[in-house]
Amino acid sequence: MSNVNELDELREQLKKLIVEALSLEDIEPDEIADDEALFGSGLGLDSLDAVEIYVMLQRNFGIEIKNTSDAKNIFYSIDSLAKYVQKHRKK
Amino acid sequence: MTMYISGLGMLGIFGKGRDELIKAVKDSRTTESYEKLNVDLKAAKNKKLSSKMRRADRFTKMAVYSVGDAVENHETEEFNLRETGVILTTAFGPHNTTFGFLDELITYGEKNVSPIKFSHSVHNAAASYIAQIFNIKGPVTTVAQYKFPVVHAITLARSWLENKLCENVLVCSVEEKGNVFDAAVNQKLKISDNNRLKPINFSEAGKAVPAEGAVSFLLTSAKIKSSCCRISQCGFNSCDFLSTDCYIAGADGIPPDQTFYKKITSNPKPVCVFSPVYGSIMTGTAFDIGIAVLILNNYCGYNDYIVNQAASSCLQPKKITCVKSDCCNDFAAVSLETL
Repeated sequence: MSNVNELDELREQLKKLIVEALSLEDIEPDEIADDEALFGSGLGLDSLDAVEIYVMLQRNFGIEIKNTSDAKNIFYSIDSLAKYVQKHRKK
Repeated sequence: MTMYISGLGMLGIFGKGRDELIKAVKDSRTTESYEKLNVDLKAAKNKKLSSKMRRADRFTKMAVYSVGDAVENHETEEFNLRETGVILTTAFGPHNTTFGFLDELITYGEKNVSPIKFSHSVHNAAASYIAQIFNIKGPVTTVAQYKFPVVHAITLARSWLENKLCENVLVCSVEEKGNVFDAAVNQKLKISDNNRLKPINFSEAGKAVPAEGAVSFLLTSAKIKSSCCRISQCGFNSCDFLSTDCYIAGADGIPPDQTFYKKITSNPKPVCVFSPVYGSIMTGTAFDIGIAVLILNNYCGYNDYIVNQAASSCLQPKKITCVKSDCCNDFAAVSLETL
């Protein structure tokens, strides 16, 4: 599978996982734009959601983000998250 | 002390609100007519409230929606929600979330469990949501017990009102159906295999039809515009409850021993059983009280639900006593009267 296809699939998978993990009942996964900000003015997630995303990444991809100062950039959008997961995933 | 029921909200397998319960009672709709014995939360959804509890579990959502109905007129009514206390009552609590959290702990290890699931696994979470969403500043607590949880909650509410801890009390009873609940019921007695609830059946041990739902009452110490009846008595194992026009017995297959109900049905006063409408629920007394309110206010009748054939009829009762017995044949009772 090419890197581009893998990234596309990861984006879709992450959208589904986020909608499920955060109980975003009124949002369909495909309504989340790849470059939309997940926190603040974008999707409107907050710090509690960040903790759930952190747990979701650990469970599904074996990723542990140890440097929390990086998290702001990694968690910015689905796109940034997918790129990080593609590079660091352990499963 | 007399308390007034000044707000009523409920949801169960029959639907949401008093109109759907009245319809279920009038149509004699029973547990066996439902595909699932769960509350349809999508149909019960209140957008204004649900936006404030995205992370909440089913247990909390049922509780909050029923409270929302009970206080729907609070902006125009004369009671002050800020001066209101909250007593949430349950037997099993949010056990689906609690055991879901424990399952995650086993499956993913302590580092990878959902912190949100953990925070919702405590019994007091639903009461906290109610206080936060409705901006309630009075005392807030959860009464979690198997033995007469609803009557204990109402007794506590009376104590709060007598001691002027608050002006009003919201009593919210909620019970959630789930695998653990079903297994617990099945170990102690039997679950009906056709969802038919035969509450008064002295020839064999009772069979339960576990269901779920929530009922909320706004109790006020003074009569206000929205008051619909008064609670004249509530307590345990007392003969004071013999003076009534009609009984509603909480027989629901839990417990299997029906000695108390056998005794009460030998009474010439009509004894009705409504559990086939809402299912076997440990907090079922709350549904019986809700139905008693509807009967006292002439929204529905009860003749089709009388279980003692020798009973003398009473066309429009002025006083109804809801009674529930446990496996020790202790009983709890709440008497309601018209205004």
